[in-house]
Amino acid sequence: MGEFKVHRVRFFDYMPSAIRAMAFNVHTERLAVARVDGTVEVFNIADNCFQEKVIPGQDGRTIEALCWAGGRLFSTGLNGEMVEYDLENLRAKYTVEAYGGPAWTISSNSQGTHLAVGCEDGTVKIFELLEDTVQFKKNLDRLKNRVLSLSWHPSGTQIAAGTLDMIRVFNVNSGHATERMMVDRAAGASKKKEVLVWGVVFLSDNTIISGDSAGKVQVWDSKMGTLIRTHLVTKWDVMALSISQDESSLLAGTSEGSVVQFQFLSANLDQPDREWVRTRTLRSHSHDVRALVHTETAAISGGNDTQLVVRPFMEKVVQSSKESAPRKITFPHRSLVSCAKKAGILLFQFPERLELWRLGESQGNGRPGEELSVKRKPEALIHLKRKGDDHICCSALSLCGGWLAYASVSSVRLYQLQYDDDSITIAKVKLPKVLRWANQLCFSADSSRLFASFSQSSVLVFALGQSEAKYVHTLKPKSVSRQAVHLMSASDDGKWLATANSDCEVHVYNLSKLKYHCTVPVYSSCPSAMAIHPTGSNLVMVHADQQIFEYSLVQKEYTEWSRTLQKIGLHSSWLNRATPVTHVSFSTRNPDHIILHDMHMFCIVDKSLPLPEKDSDLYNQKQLCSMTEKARIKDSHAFKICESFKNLLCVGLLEDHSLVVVERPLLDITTRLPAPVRQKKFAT
Amino acid sequence: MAHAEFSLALDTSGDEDEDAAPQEVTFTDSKDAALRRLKLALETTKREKQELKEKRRKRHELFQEQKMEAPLTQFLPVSLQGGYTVKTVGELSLAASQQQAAADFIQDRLYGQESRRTTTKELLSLKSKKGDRKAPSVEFVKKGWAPKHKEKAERLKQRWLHKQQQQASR
Repeated sequence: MGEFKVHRVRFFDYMPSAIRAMAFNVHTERLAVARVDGTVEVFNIADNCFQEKVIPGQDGRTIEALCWAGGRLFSTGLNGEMVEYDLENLRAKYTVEAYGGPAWTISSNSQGTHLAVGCEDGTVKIFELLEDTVQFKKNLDRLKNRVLSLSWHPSGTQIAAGTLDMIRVFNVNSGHATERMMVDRAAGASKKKEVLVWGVVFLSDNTIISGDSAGKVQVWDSKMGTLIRTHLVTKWDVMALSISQDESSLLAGTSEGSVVQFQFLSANLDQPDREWVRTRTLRSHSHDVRALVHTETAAISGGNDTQLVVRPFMEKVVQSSKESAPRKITFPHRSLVSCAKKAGILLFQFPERLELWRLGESQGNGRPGEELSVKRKPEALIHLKRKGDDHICCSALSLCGGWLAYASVSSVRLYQLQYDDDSITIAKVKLPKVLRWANQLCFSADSSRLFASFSQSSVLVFALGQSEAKYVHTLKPKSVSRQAVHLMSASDDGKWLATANSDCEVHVYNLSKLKYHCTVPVYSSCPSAMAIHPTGSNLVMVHADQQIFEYSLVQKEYTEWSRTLQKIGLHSSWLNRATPVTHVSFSTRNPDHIILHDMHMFCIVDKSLPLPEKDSDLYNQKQLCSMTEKARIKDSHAFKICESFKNLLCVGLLEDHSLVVVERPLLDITTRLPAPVRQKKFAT
Repeated sequence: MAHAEFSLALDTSGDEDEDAAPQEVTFTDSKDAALRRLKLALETTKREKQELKEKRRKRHELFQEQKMEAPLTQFLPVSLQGGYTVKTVGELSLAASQQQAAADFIQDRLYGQESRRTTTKELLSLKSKKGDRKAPSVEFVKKGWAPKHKEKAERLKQRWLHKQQQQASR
């Protein structure tokens, strides 16, 4: 595999934000996830749960609930506003004041024509969806307390609203409450403490299911307003409910971090009467589960421990297939670290700041696996706070470390850095007004140009001179896609630029002619990482389904190696990995080496070696070490995988052929989470 | 104390030979027994006090951890940290105060007084105690945990050592 000097970086203080709400679009199989800091992420569940889009948050904008209405995404928050998102340009499209104080919940009817918003002042407000906006239609009868949860009846004529101590059913047409169902307070708790109905679900057979802060999941008959059944699930709160599309299975998420499944079954096979029976408990979280989605084959949950967990139901998927593996999505599927490989400088991106670090230096050489003594410690050079309220959505550092740029949805900023022996100076460089925002930023390898992806997958090119930036050209693809670019990569020889968008299109531009060059044949899975070979003009793409392609930009066709790889097929252990490859880079010494990494491993693909056979072991590096030279040659294959580093955020190769490995131990994240509930464990 | 004496009396009466004369109990023996009882009682009260103290400390730790989540200093420029005072600049707007009230409500319900929550430290330490791979409590595993407490402990240790040395040299 080769020997490297490794910079093991653990000072990237990355802290993901807790998951607050989720919404699933059955038709497009897109999952929207809202975090406490106001970020909205869109995952494609059909495409290996790939994080397709990230809509950055804004200071002051909080999200309490999310909902899809057709293909449109809405959210509400405690600032009392309703937001519709622009999923093409990855920003808030517009905000509408609900005029009811903080808005706790939002729900759309199954027809996708109306939205209901539950507010702090006890009103349920109905909005009508127009083509480009929403319009207030009416208020339903006002309740005495804040409305915490809402659910439409599938017919769209009734709404169930959960509030303090009570569930009310409204007739949408008349606007009047028709039923009132009182929810019991917790036994043993103080009498003054109201019970909060965190979730309601209205089924088509007029059953209402509620989950509350007393730990109960209750089944109600909405026609009679009577309680049918109470299931005591937890001593804490039931914070989220989700029903399957066919209304036969229900999930309830608790503060303990468990997810409880209920199914609508008959007690005896021959009896037609069915009832809700508690069937299984999934424990995948250490902290409160705040959001839940029941897809056809899996339970998706998220909460205060910031992880998104996908747990497939074993009876719905083929055993030991790719779909049957549980997934934990901890890190974003895009890079937050930029590495200036010529200067040995790292840029870390946070929502509210950027951090620039110089790597340390070590003394002498050692044996493999040995720790070298540090001659110079890594030092923080700059701590750059962003301007304005909008969170940083992308950032870039030039390879020489002399230029730094970041963008939010409202601004793009460029800085020039100068390093003297001990000091560092930073100067802001004015950008032309054409560039108001950007989805992705990237510098050319010689730091003479800045590329910024703009709306409809176009790319603006700027020439960087002595403390100025000049607009040069706009590169436009020959396609009709309006999706935003999520990956951009310039080649080291300065000839090519490649962009990828969430419609899975990869466009290549010729930078010497400043012209569109070609589009790579569209593959069904979204590219998760790509890079252009520094000398060979080959584009290497890794997709969310773990497929690897190499495309020759000169010949405009897949290379011989890529064809062989497709013909033989990738190893099943490679294809079954749960996290996507997030970074591709190349070795400067050996042109046959491609370096890939995901969250759990990094891999050097050696194109000169034979591909692994189907029944061989893919992870065989440790065995190879203990073999004789001859046997080693016989057994080695193209995929050299190293798993000694865990929880990787970035793996890059510096110019002096040393590796930079940025790790973020999960324990460091866990220690900063909010307080969990106190559970009694036997014998402690 | 009275109960203990009673049981002692029972013990003596339960001897194998009922008719035999009562054993001679010397004054020193009974004094020793009384002292032992006194010591036991003292230890019990001491232990109870310790337990109460521990309980209070845990509570305090929980509050501290919750407080630590958003330290005010991180929003201040470096030049201002240290010697700052907090002032209300003006009345919050209606929307902002409503938002604050709603956020406080949910914070109180989830993390307030009756929320029966523990600390993350406790959770992690329990996990390492109950897990397949046993490990010590998390503050010993994770070096960066509670830097202030450790600093204080180190300072106190140094002071104690210094005192010991001074006493020895006298």
